[in-house]
Amino acid sequence: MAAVDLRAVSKTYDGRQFAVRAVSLSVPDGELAVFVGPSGCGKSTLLRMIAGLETISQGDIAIGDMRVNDLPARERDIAMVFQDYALYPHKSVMENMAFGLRLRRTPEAEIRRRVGDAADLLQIGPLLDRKPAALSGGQRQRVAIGRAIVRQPKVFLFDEPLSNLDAQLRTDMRAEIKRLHQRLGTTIIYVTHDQVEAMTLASRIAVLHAGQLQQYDTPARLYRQPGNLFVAGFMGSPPMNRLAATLTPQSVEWGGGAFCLRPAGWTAPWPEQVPLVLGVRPEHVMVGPAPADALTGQATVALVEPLGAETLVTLQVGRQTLVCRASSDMTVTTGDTLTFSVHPRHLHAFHPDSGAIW
Amino acid sequence: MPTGRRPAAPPVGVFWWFVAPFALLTLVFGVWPIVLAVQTSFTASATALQPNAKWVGWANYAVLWSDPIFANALQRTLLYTGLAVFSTIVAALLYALLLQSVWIGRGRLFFKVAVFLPVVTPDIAGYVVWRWLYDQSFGAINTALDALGLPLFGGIASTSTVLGAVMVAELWHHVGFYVVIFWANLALCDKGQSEAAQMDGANAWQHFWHVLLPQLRPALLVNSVYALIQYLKTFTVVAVMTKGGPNETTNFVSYYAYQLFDQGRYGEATAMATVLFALILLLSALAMHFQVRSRLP
Amino acid sequence: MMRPAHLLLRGLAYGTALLVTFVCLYPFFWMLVSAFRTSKAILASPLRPWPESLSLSVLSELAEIGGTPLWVYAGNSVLITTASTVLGILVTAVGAYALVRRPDFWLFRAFRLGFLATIMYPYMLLVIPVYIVMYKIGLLGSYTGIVLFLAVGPIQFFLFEQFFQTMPKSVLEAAVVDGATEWQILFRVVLPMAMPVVATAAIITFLLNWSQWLPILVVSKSPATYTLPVALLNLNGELGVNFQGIMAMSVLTTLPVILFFLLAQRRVMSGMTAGAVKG
Repeated sequence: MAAVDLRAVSKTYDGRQFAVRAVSLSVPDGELAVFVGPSGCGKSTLLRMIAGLETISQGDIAIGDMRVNDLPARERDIAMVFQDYALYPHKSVMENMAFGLRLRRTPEAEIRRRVGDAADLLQIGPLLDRKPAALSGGQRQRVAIGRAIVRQPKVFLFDEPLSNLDAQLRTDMRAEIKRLHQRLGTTIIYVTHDQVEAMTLASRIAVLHAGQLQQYDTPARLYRQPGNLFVAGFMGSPPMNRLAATLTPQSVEWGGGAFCLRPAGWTAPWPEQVPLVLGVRPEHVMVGPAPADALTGQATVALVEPLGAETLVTLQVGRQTLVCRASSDMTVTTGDTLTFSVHPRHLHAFHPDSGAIW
Repeated sequence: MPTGRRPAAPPVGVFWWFVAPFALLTLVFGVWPIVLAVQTSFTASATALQPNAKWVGWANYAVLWSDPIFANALQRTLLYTGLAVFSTIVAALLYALLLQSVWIGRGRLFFKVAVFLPVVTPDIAGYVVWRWLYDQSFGAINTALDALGLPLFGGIASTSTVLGAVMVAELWHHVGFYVVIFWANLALCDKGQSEAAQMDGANAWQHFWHVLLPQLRPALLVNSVYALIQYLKTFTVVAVMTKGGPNETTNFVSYYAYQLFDQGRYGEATAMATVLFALILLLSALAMHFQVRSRLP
Repeated sequence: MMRPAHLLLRGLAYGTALLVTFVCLYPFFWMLVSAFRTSKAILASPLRPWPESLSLSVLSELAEIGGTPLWVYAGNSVLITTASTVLGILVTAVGAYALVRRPDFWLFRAFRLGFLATIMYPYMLLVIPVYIVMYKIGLLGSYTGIVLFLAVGPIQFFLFEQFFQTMPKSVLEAAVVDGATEWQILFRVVLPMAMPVVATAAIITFLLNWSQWLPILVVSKSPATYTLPVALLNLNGELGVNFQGIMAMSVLTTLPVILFFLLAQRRVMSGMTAGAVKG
């Protein structure tokens, strides 16, 4: 068990294209950190650099206070679970799990014990004699996890392990992985493109985009206080509403109207006509009677999507749209006009060009 | 913070050991002989095997150029190869189409295995039998023709029919290979397109011409070149059946080169081999060029 | 479409296929039948579909051709073919693996190119310079020389190359993370996974090498190292009119190959054509 430290880690190809650019973060011992981001953001590359499957172009990676840049993968005491399971097709489940231990000349009794324990933990005991071809996707995934567990490594690395499973299985396995982490307490670094997985599993999430770290924080803080426009739009489903607005000395104007917004303690001169992006999460857009100091506006209902537990209502405000999470009791139809409200404390402001928080 | 090392190409290390035996064999029994052959083609035949072979420049090639036998051999080789390749590819394609069609239900595998059997047969044994089948007086073919009252077949005894006879024997040996290839390619053809064509009302010929053929074009091209290279090397059939005759009619380049080798005219033999090799390289390069072009939309 | 038209087409189709099959198989049939008939009988009625008697006396006639016992030729065939197959498969598999794992290394690219050049060279004519090479390294007339020359071939290489290229890299990475060295990866993960391809390549190589004759003829210094096909060629000349002997010899040369093929035809057909099928 060990902490993992990344210090200004970069990966370049031919010295020009950056797959990963100066990422720095620390995963404390025993935590489950998730690297999340869209395809091509560099999360897998980062994981593979920690594993030793990719060379590190710049920066340092330390596992448990030991710099591992020059250590080959087999000496880093890590174990990895691959997206396509990567089981040895010609070996039985038992042999798949035992292979790493056999290579290290672990005594036979110890091997049997560890494999047995892992098999019990993952409930794959009856499958030990089978070959991978005879297993289902979910079973194969468990074997892949089992193979990692028996190694008793300092760090577990998961590379999008649930992507190849169907939706129901994914939900079940997600919970299992969380339970496993609670049982074993080993440091885990988990890569996924699915922000729901990230939110449910992680102690802390690293959001990556185009090779750069956007924000590294707890799920709650990422959600409530996104550091930039990208994180704001990436985390949360349906995504945060982002509206183009203009800040004037008197008010903030946006498609639906103007309102006055003066943060407490603002001492600098009030800017003239500054464009910015306002963000508000769908669940914070209220329809119906508005609370006292909320901002209100008029809107036309453009789309109604009943989900059962709630209804997503898309509101047309001027030329922009707002998605609102309404209760399923609400009866609105397309074309209705209604009043909506937003409390100022639920507003986020971002620079339109850089996406930085305003 | 100290910067990490630059990304280096992964070390080759261990893989040297893995590739060594293979590389060694390829070099000693492949590349070295080829280089040696080219080298020998520039030396005087009498001295070829000695350490200080006499350098004669292009002399051997000049001899070839003015050798009427060689000129004929080249001409005949090209003619034979062209005909053989065309016949093989067309016949193989047609037979593959037939076997894959709906008109043949059961027994597909049997026909496939039967046509492939001659491919795996040791060619010497196969051609020995064909030689006797063609025999003028006692061969099975002429005996059968005679019994049916049909004119006898000149077989390998007559200069007018020997090329055809040899070609039939070679086709017997090679067609199966291409039948299986085209069979596999046909199986890979887009069923969706065929069904669309069926709904559009295409008949068998239109289906073949407009749907199958375009998809088969790359395969046809590649295999034509493959067949070209294969037939340019025609040797065994001549060695077994005709020994270059009658009257040099089947004295193809590769056989003629071997004869010269047998006579100790190493310089000229290797010159001929080099010419043939250059021809094959040229054809392969052309084929790859066309292959690349055909991939463009 | 009317049924009679269907039936007619079907009949034509089967008829054509049967005709082609007949042409393909008749030579074997004739070969087999003639092996049991005396030369006189063959000359008298070549088309007779059944031998007069099923005696194997011809074998005693063949017992010594070219001064060497028949069983020596047969033994040579078995020995040389097996040895060159085993060696060839091992060397080519491991070599192809190395080339696929490090495709960008310039020297490896050169090796691959050298190999391609070798197979494009008119094979029969390669024996001319190989003769010289054998002479220079002193392997002329030896079993070693013959086996080494026959060891490397295109089909095995392309089969292995194709397999290794389509092998999932993540399994190799899993082995690396599990702690395996490259040697261990090759012998404990990759080669076991490649067993089906090894089997296919071995069978095809065996079939092809059994049929080889010119390299063996050229490299040999005496009939003592001839294999069955080579002896057959010589026999063609020496025994002249002993048709029965020739046919019997042909059968001996062909039968093992045919049997081998029939036992594994699917594998052989798909393996031999693998490189040429575009897909």
